[in-house]
This record gives sequence, structure tokens and C-alpha cells, in this order.
Amino acid sequence: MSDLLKPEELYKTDSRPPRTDWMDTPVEIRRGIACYAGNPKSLEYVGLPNARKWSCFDEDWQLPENWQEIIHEGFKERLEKFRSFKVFMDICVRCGACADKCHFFIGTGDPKNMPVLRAELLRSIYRNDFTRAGKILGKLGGARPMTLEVLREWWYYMFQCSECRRCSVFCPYGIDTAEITMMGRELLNLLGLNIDWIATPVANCYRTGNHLGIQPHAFKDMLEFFQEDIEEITGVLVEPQYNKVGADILFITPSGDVFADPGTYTCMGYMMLFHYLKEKYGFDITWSTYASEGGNFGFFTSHEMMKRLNAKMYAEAKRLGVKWIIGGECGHMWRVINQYMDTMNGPADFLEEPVSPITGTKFENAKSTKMVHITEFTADLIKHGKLELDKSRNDNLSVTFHDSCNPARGMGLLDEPRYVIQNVCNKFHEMPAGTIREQTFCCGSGSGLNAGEDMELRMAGGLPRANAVKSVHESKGVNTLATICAIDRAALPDLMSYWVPEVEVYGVHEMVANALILQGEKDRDTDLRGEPLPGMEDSDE
Amino acid sequence: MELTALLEKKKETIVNEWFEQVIQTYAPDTAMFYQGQKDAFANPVGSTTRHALTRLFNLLLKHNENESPAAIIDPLIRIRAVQNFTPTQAAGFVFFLKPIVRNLYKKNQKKIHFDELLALESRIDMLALTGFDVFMACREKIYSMKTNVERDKIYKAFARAGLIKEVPADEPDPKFI
Repeated sequence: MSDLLKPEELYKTDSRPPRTDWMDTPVEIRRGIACYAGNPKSLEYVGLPNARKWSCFDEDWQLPENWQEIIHEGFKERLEKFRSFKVFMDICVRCGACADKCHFFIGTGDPKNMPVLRAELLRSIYRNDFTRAGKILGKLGGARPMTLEVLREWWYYMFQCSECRRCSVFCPYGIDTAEITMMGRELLNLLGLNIDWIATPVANCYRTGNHLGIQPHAFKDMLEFFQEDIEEITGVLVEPQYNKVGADILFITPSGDVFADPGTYTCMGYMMLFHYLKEKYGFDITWSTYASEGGNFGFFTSHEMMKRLNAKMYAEAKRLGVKWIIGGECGHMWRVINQYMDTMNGPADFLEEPVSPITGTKFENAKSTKMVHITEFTADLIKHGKLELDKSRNDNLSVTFHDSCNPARGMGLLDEPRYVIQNVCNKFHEMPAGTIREQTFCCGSGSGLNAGEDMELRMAGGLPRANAVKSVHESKGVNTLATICAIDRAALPDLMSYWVPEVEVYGVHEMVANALILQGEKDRDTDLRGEPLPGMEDSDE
Repeated sequence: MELTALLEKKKETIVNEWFEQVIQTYAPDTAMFYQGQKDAFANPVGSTTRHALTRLFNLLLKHNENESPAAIIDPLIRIRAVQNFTPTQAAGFVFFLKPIVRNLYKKNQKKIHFDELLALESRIDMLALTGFDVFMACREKIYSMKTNVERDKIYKAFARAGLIKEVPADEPDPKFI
């Protein structure tokens, strides 16, 4: 009842928002935008400070008494440790090039979601605490002291950035605003200010190897369940290898592929591809039930946590004695691998430089990390004519491709997925320029924001992406949104169901597997989802 | 028919004024962006707003009577239903049109034909109610998505704990035997 508006409040009909300067506009933490606080048990498990039950809607956030000192010291330590952070704090000239590039600003209309302003939330404190000009000029120089109000603002807006880095593409100074958010979240974590959609997957991943806390036997059970489905659809029994010591290659994919539709169909796709390659070329790849997560929510917590979770993948590769690693269709896993792994846990010199055992191709991009993206691997197979494919099996799909932010902007993986899609599907249409490739719009749910309680934020943030999908749906009849990220596969179905309900979400390797002709397969009449293949709509079971 | 003729003549001015007022429901910096950026893909809110208001005005002028008012107002309400608005603010923009038309009418006509004006205003009222229907449908959709997330979470937790036994598709449900 306390949430209901009083009659006089309901009677307020002025629809114009306050005209005050941003520093003088108090933050209003809204339901539908904010996420639930981290479960204290999860924080305790990984040793994060100030674990307690709290809510962002509470008056009292139960902070340590010296919280301002903790923030100040944490800020100082990071400015000294990370040269880039210091530079990003100093060099912004507030030109505004990034301002209108953020999907959260475009969709929510909240000015504090302009990347420049989100960064100013931190910069204002930086100026106040660490610059002479800020100390002398105060508010005139864009500085302000750290207060509870500022802290609330930090928390609210640091968790309204999906770290997608679209803004950084347009910054003439090359400021990576995602890294400012990362630092902001690190500082908040020093006070135990996290969200549960990040904190609990982190604890689960640290304990059992994946976000959902699936234990090894249950992980294997799920793949066995897919084996049955694949056998029913194709008549072929695929047999994945688990934790095989001495296998050539280790395969690591996000656990979302194993446990959440429609990612599960992508997972079946990997299994079928690996079976095909094993039968035809003796390909030797193993799954791990311990390193059973490609995702790394430590990335959304702190650099220390990112390092701890990333290390598990390489520790498992070392334990099994594989030559190199193939990674599945994941988003932020690839930013961690491509941009941070080498200086965190690298060099992985106990592994070999990846070379495809089937085509002999050297994967130069993965020379140092020893980890190859599966679409790059599959694109190479197709290029060398190593796969037998029947594209017509995907003729009921009219496909567009959503470049996932991290593979696109974090590692430049732009053409390989398109090449694969165009070799397994006959109908492919690009979304408008400015919404794809390096300039792709985020799904609106990345960096741990794919919760349920912040659905309004997710829908508003995903609007620019959905708007582009809608245009190709209306102009080209597109009914399929393909993507190479597990968070996309979890988040985009919701986004589509709100904005463009006629469009379904697919992983690329699901479409590969639909087209792939397995040795000894029966006449297939359905796709991996059990839907009739084109031309089979009227056939009986 | 004097009012209709006037509205036809001043259509662009009216829609521009309406658009301006709707855009002013956003913070000043945001309003500037929504107004200024013409690329529909860089600025879906501004472009959808302008497009929807133009079509809604045509509807009030009875140009596209065979089109569903709900379908025309839907894209705009769908956006405002997930932004930082109360229901009044999200769906109430339809009423902004009344003073715009009244002022224009007063300025341009010596004698006001109230029957025509009231008829138009009744149509505006109906349009606002349609907008509210769409707003509620959008909100219900959001609530059902939130519910599904929670339901799915519980189902998966039960499934992982081995507490769910699904009836195979080719076997009858025991409770119906």
C-alpha cells in the first residue's frame, strides 16, 4: 500500500521533468530499472566485503562506518595501478560525441545514461579528491564531494551500463567508458554493493565451475538428454567425450548453452558438428564438467574476480594436457580472453599455437591466448569444403545477424559468423548500417543485467536493437535473429517478444547443425527444435 | 466543416507543436537529441514519436479510418510504457492536442463552431482511452515476462534437484486414465 500515490500526487499533471543541472537533480531509484542486491552468502563465498542482506530501496544501505575512506583509498589505488583509468579520468573534454551513442540513453531518455555523464559521476569525485583545480574550484570546476546521495547515484547508473563499448567507438580520445563502469563497479564492490544476478553466478562459477552451480554429473545428464534428442531427430547417436586427459582440444562454452533455451539447440549443434568431425577426420575434442562455463561474471565484479574465474579454464586445459582450446558462442568471454587474459593469467605457454587438425590453418589471432572462437573454426572448415551441408533445410528461416558487442568490438569477429550463416542459410539480410558490425547495438541485458526485476530497463535499452530488427522484419520478412552470444540467446527472446514478436532467436551453430549432413543419418523431417523442415509441414510423424 | 478545413491547412504546424510538447516531457538534453537526430535507427524514440503523431492526427482527420487506432498508437505507447513515466505521463500526451487546436481555432476563426470542436475533442478522448488500453497491455506484457523469469527459475531449480518427472509425450497423463 505504501507504494500507492496519494490523491494530491496523482493530481500532479505537469509532465515536464526538472530543469535542474545534473548535479542538482537527485537520483530516484526506480523499480523496473534497479536490480536486487547480491545474496550475502554469495558474497561471503568468494570473500567479497560487507556481505549482508540489504536492498537499494532501503533508507539504510548498512555501509561500513568509514565507507568514504574506503572509496577514496580504492580510487587512489586504482588510479595508481591502472594508467588507463587515470588517463580516462583526465582527458575527456566533454565533447559529447559519445552522448547519444548509448542504447540505454537512447531508450530510457535518462540523461545520466549518456556515457559522458555516467563517467562524470566518477570524474566529479576524482576532481574533488585528486586534482588541485577540483579542490580549488569545487562545483565550478565540475567537482563534488562524495556523499551518500552520490553513492546511490553511482550504484544506480553503474548498473545501467552493459559495458558494450559502443560509445568508445565514437570517442575521439579513445576513452573506453566500459572500463570506467568496470572501475565504478569495483569501487562499489568494496562496500558490498553488488547485484545478485552477478554475485551469485560468480560464487557458483567459483565453486562448481558454472553460473548455475550445476554439478558435474548434472552437466553430463543434460548433454545425454541432448544426445537422445539428436538421435531422435537424425537417427545418429553422438557421443561427446568428457574430461578426457590427453585429448587434442578442450571445448568450453557458456553454461547457458547447456541449460537455457534456445541456447540448448546451439549446444546440440556443437555436439553434432564435433561428432561429424570425429567420424570423418578423427577430430579429438573433450568437454569439461569442471571448466563448464565460458562466461565470466567476475568481469562485471572486479579485475581480481575476473582473473580468478578465467584461471579455471586454463588450469583445466593444463590438467587435461590438451593442445589448445575452442570456445563456444559466447559474448563477454571473448573480451576477457582477447583483451585481459594475457596480462592476467597468460601467457598460456603450456599450450600450443592453435592449428586446425583438419585444414592445417594456423589461427594467428589466437597465437597468444591459444583459444579459438568456434565460428572462426567452422568458417575455416567451410572455406576448405570440409562440411557437407544442405542449406535448404534452413529455408524456413529468413535470417539477420546481431553482432554481439564483445566479439564484434572486443575482438573484431565480424565476417566469420556472416560467412558461416550464408553458407548454411539461403536467406540472409543485414540490418541497417549504423546498427551492425563495430557499431552494433547491445541487446540491453549484457554485463549481468539480464535479470527479471529490471525488465523495463532491458526493454528500453534494447529498443535501438529491436528497432533495427523490426525494420528488416517489415521490409525483408526476416523471422530469425541469429547471434553468437549466450546472454543474447537468453535476453533477445524477451526483447523480441515485447518489440517484434514474430522474430525468433537462433544460435549460429544451431543453423549449422540443421544443414549438416551426418553420415548415416535418417531422412530428417524436423529441425533441432522439432519443427517441420521446409516441405515437410504436411508429413506425418 | 470550417474546423476540418483549418486543421487540414495547418496540419504541419499542429503536428509540429504536438511533437514539440511530447518531446518536452523528456529532460532538456534528451529532448534536444530526440528532436534533432533525424536518423530513425540512431533515434528510434524521436522518429517513432513523430511518425505516430502524424498518423494519429491523420486518423483524427479521418484520412485513414480503416486503420486500427490501437495499431497506430501502439509503437509510441510501447516506448513510453518502459520509460520513466507515470501512466498519466505515458499515455496523457494525446490530450496535449486539445489546447493546441483550441488556440489555433480561436486565433483563426471569429466564430467558434462548438459542435465541430466538441466532436473532435470526443475523438481525442476516445484516442486517449485507446492509448490507455495499449499502455495497460504493454505493462501486462512486462509483468508476465517478469513472472515467467521467476517461474522459469523455480522450475529449473526443481528440475536440477530431480523433483520434476515429466510425462513422456507418447504416454497418456496418468491423471486422465
